[in-house]
Amino acid sequence: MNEQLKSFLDGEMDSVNSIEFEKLLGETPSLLNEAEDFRLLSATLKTVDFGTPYGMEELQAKLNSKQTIQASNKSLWRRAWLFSGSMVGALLVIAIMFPVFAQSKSAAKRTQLLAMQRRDKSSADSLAMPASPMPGDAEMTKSPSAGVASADATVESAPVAASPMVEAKSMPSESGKVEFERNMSQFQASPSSTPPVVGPPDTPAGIYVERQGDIQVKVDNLLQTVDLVTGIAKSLDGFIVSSNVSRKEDGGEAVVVFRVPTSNFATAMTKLQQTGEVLSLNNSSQDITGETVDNTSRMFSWADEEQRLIEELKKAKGNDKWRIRAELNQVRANLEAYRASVKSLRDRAKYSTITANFVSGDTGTGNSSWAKDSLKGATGGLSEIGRILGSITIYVLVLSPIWLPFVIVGLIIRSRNRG
Amino acid sequence: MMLLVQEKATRTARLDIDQLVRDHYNQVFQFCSLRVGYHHAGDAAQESFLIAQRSLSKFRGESKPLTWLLGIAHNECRRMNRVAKREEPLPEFQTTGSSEANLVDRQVLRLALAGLSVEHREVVVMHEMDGLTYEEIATILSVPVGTVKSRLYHAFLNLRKCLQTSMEVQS
Repeated sequence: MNEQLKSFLDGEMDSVNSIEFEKLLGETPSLLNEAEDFRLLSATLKTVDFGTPYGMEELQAKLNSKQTIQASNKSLWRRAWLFSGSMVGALLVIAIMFPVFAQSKSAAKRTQLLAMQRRDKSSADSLAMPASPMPGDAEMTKSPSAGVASADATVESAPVAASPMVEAKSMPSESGKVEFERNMSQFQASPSSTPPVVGPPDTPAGIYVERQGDIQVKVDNLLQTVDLVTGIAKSLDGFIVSSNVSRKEDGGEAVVVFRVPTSNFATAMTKLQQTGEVLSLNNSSQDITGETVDNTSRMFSWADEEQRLIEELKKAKGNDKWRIRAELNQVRANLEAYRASVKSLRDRAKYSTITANFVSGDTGTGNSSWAKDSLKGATGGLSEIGRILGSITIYVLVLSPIWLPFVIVGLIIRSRNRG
Repeated sequence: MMLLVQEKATRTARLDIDQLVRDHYNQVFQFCSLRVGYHHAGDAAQESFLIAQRSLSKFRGESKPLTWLLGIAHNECRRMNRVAKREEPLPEFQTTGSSEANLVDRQVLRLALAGLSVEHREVVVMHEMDGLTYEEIATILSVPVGTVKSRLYHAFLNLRKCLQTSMEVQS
């Protein structure tokens, strides 16, 4: 209770407690005596003279000069920090943008490949524009009634130089045209004719081009990719020639060879590029027009010969019949060989061959789990962060001659201000 | 426009610190004089105001400006004593005023104050000589008000005891 005495004397006690304490003070002589001593002591302490204060004018002068210096120092310090902050910010932006830039470079390369692909396609489209057909470029369609080939051939021009035999049979003259039509009708009517040779609908008139594409793509899952490519081939009216998937310790490889109509070649290549990261891409074209025209002309020639022998056979008597029949068999054999050759050539021009090579670190056998994928992703992320931090550190260290003086000057100014 | 605003802000700050110097320099000087001695009080007070000028923007107005200034001065005096590697010197003063007050000899009072602990002496000085309230002392020392009350009471008890002893010796 006595501890309250000083606060009572100093007026720091609230009114309720003051009344109670005053009552107690009146009843307790020793406490009253103590209070008197405290009052005296306090009064003495309050009369202490500290001496005349000095230094106010000096302080005001210091404040005047200090304000100016401080303002300039503050400004300099602020500028130094602003510059340092800007530098660090710029470095951070560079460090962050660097991987993005690298990715964009890769994307640009890919875009370039796509553009190349588009150019190829457009050139193919331009080649596919209607042009004057050649004798050997007869549009053949299957006749629904007869079930045999019906050829609709016209001899308007012969832009491609053919062999002498072709020239003899398919000259762009009126008589030649008539003769060619006759030969074609004989060819259609021939009982030994093979199934019709269906010409490519978009084959450039007069030009036969065989296209091939090779692509190597890095993918995540081989089996899924092979299924995807099979789907692509089917959707583009193509077919799989061969498919091979092999597993290795460090991943796997799949090779898919498929053929699609030449009109869909560019689309197929584009879709293949979208299956993963393109490692290599190669397009090639081979002009087989000359060979096709040559063989077609020979085929018509043999057909003509066959017709002539048939006429002779009708008129022949005795042993001549056997001789002519043997000769006819030989002619027909040659004719069939040329028909097959022409069909093959036209197929090569109609369908393009694409060889897709897929490589992967994962064979896609289903062994991979979400945990493995997560671990792989997290490890990749960690290494990426480490790489970014490393890049930042390198940038900061390399550029230290630029920012370090500012920081040192700033620190000196700051320490002076504090001092 | 920005320059004008900046100039105005500088002028306002300038006025504020000047006003503080005019209003409270003597109190801060006395406060410092009791802690670092009369001869160093000028430096301590000036440095306290210079620190106050730099920290003026941080003053939130939650306490009186004087309390804030004395808090700065308190820390500055401690720093100066620490740098000079000296104990807090005894206050140098002389008593004036009524004859009743002069009943206590200034030398005896000085010795009595010297006998107090640092914690007790500083609350006595702050309250009796600087005229700070309990709450202001608590704010400056960062201790509860109850602690200030307790320290002050026991400081006075010790002073009284010392003075009584010295008076007995003298008589």
